[in-house]
Amino acid sequence: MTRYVITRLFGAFAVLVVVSVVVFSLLHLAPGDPAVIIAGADADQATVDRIRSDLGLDRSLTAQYFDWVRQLCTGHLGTSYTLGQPISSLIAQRLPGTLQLTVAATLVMTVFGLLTGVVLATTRSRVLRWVIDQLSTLSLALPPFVSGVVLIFFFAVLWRVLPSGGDASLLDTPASSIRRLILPAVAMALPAIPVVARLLATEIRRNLDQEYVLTALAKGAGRRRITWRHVLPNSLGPAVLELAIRIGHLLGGAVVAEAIFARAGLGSLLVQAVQTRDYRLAQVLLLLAIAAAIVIQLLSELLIARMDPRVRLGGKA
Amino acid sequence: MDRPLIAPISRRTLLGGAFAAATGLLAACSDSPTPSGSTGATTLRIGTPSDVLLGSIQRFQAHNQPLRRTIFDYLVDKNPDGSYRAALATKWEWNAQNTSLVLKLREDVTFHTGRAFGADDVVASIKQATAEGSGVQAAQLLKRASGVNKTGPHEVTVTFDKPFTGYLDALAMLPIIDSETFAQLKDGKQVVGTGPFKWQSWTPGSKFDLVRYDNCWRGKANFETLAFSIIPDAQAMLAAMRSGSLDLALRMIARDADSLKSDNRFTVSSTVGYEMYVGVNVKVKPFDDIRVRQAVAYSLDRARIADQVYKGFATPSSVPWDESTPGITKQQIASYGYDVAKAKALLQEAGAVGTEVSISALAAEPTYKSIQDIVQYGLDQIGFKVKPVSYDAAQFPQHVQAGDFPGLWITDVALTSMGQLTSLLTANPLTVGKNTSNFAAPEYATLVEAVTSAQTDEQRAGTSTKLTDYLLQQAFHNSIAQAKTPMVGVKGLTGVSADLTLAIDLTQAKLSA
Repeated sequence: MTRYVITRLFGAFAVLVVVSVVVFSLLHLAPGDPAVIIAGADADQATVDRIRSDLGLDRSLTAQYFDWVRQLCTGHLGTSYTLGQPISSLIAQRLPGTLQLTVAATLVMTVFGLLTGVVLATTRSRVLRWVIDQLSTLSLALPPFVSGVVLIFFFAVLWRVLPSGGDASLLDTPASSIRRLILPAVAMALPAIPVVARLLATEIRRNLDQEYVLTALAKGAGRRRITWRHVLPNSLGPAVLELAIRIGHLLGGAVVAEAIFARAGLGSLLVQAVQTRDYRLAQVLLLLAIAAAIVIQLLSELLIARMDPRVRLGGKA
Repeated sequence: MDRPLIAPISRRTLLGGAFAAATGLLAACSDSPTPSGSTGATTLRIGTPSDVLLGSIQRFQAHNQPLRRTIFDYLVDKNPDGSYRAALATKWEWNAQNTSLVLKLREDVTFHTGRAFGADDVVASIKQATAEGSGVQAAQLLKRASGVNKTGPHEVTVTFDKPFTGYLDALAMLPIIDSETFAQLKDGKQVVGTGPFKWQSWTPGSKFDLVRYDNCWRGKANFETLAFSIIPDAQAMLAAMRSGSLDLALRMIARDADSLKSDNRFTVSSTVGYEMYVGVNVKVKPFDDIRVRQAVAYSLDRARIADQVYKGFATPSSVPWDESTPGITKQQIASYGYDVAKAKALLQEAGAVGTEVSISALAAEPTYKSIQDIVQYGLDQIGFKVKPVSYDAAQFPQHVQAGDFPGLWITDVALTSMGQLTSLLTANPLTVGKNTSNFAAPEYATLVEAVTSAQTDEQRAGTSTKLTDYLLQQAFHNSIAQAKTPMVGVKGLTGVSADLTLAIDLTQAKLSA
C-alpha cells in the first residue's frame, strides 16, 4: 500500500504541474484586464498602463509564469491585485468557512444518504418506499440554487427560525455559527443524498444474495448483526466512492451556496477573483481546489481498501 | 422469499431517529435571528453588494459608497440646487476675475489618529488625486488649477490661468485623506479620515466594521458600530432584509426594492441618480450616418424601461443631465419619444434597413440585461437585425475605456448628479478628444469649452442649451433615463442620507419605535 500511495503522490504532483500551466494559460488568455477593472471604466490609458506595470502584467507570460512558480516553491503565494492583501491571509480567512460548510454538508449527505439507503433496502413498507422515492426524485431535481431559495423562504423569511445566511465564528459564537450552517449544508447535500442512498440500497440487495449471508444465518447469527456487521460494510464501496466524488463537488457547489447564503468562503473568493481577473488569487485557489480533489480521491480509495478486504490497492487482487 | 433476509429498520428506530433529528434542529434554531429594527440598538447592520476598493478611495466608485462619507470628509458639499455648503472648508472666496480661490479651513478637526487637520492635508490630497495615473475622476477638474498652495495653517489658495468656477465641484467629490497613513490604506491596515466613524476590521469580500469616532467635528454619531455585510447576490440581499438579518440594504436592485414597498416593515427610498444610456460607436457602419443614430434614439422606449425595469426609480429622459441643470428645457428632455414610424423612415432614408447591429451589455447586471431586451425589441421593430452581446464585469469596462464596442452598448454614467461639467470632463462616454463613441467634431469641442468656461448663471444656461441641442442632434450618446439607486431600511430607521456622489451619510441615523 505504501508503494501505491507514493506512486499516486508522484502522479498527483505531475497533475498539479500540468494543471498550473493550464490554469495560468486559461486565465491569462481570457479576455479582460485586471488593470482596467482596478482603474475603472473612466480611467485614461496612462492610469491603466501604470497599474499594469505595478502588477507586473507588462512582462511576458512565460516570465510571469516562472515568477509565480518560483514564488510558490518558496512558500509565497503573492498578493491579491484587487484586494491588496496577501493571498495566504485571504485563504486563511476564508478556509474555515468553506471547511465548515463542506464538513456540515458531508455530514448531512453521509448520515441521511446511508440511513435512507439502508431503509430503502430493508423496508417492507411500500408506502415508505414510495415516499422515499418521491422525495429522492424531488431532491435530485432541485439544484442548490433552487432548494437554497426555497429553504430560505420557509425557514428564514416565513417561519424566521434560522438566519437567511451570513457566517459567524465557530469558536466565538458556536450556536450562531451552527445555525447559519444548517440551511446551506442541507441545500448542498440534498442532490447527493438520493444518489448515495440508491447506490447503497442496490449494493445491499446484491449482497443479500451472497452465500456468506446465508452461511451467517445458518450459523445462527442475528439479523441485525448480519446487517450492520457484514452486509453494510461490504456494500459501502460504491457509496463511499460516490461520497468522495460528491465531496469534491461540494467544494465547487460551495460557490453557489456561498452566493445564495451570503457566506464568505473560498468559493465566493474564487468567483470574485475570476470576475476581476485577479490572476494570482484565482490561480492559487484553482490549484488548491484540484489538490484537495486529488487528496480526497486518494483518501477514499484507501478507505475502501480498509473497509473491504477484497479490494487490494496497486492492482493486486 | 416472503421476508427479507436481514432485519428491516424498525418503526421504533425510524421514529426515534426522526425525533432526535427534529430535537437537534429545534435546539439549533432556538436562538432565532435578532429581530430587525430593535429600538436603541447600538449596531446598524448594513448590506452592501460589493466590497470596498481601498486603493481607489478618492475615485468615484460605487464600491466605496459606504466609506466616503462615514470615514472621510470633503472640503465642501454640493446641494441639489447647485449651491455649496461648508464642510472641512468654512469659507471659499473667488477673486473678481475668478482666477484665485481662497479656502478657509476648520480649525477644530482631527484625524482618527488624533493628528490635527490642516492646509498640508488639503494640498497632499489634491496632489495625490492629480498624480499621474491616479485615475481619480475629480482630477480632470482639479488639473485646471495652475497652483495649489498653503497660505496659512488653515488656508489654501488655488490659482488658475483661466477662470474655472467648476473647481468647487471637484472639491465636493474629493475625500480628504491622511497623508501620513495613505500608503497603508490599500491593504486596510490604516484607513484614516476625519469622519464620524473609524475603520475597525475588514474580512475582504465578506464584511467590514466601522466604529464611532467620538471626537468628530460633525458631532457624535448615534450608532456605535456600523456592521457592513458584503452580499453580492441580489436574492441573498433581499432574503437577508426580509428575514431581519439587516437594518439597511444599499444599492438594492429596483425590482427587489419595489417588492418591499408594500411590506410595512420597511421603508424604501432612493439616493440621487445616474444616467442610463445607449452608446453608439460612430466608427462602426452604419452608425457613421447621423440618420441611423437618430433612428436608434427614436427606437428607445424610455417610458417602458423606466416603468418595467426601474419600477419608478427612474425618470425617462433624452438628455444626459439632471433636469435641474441650467438651460435644460422640458422639450429637450422629451425630444426623442418612442416613434417607430419616424425611426423606420430615417433608417429607410439611410438605406440601413436589415443591417445587422450588435447591442452589448454587462451580463452580470440584471437591470442592464432587462434594458438590453427592451432596446433589442425596439431596434427589431424599426428594421435592424439585432445581435445581443454580453460581456462580464472584467471585459465591459475594457471596451468602455478602449471605445471598441462593435456597435451599440448599454451602460450608465455615474456622477451626473454632480452636474453637467463633471460629466463632460470626467465620464469617458462624453469627453472631448477621446470618448467611448469615438465621436470627434470641432463644434463639440467648442460647445464643451463654452460650458466649461461659463462664468455667470446666464452664460451657463445658454451654453448648456446649445450643447444639449447638439448632443441630441448628433445622437451618439442616447440617454434613456435618469435613474436612482434604491435604498431599503427597516421601519423606524431615520437619518440615513446620501450626497450627490451617492456616498452614504449615517451620522444622524437612528432606530426608533
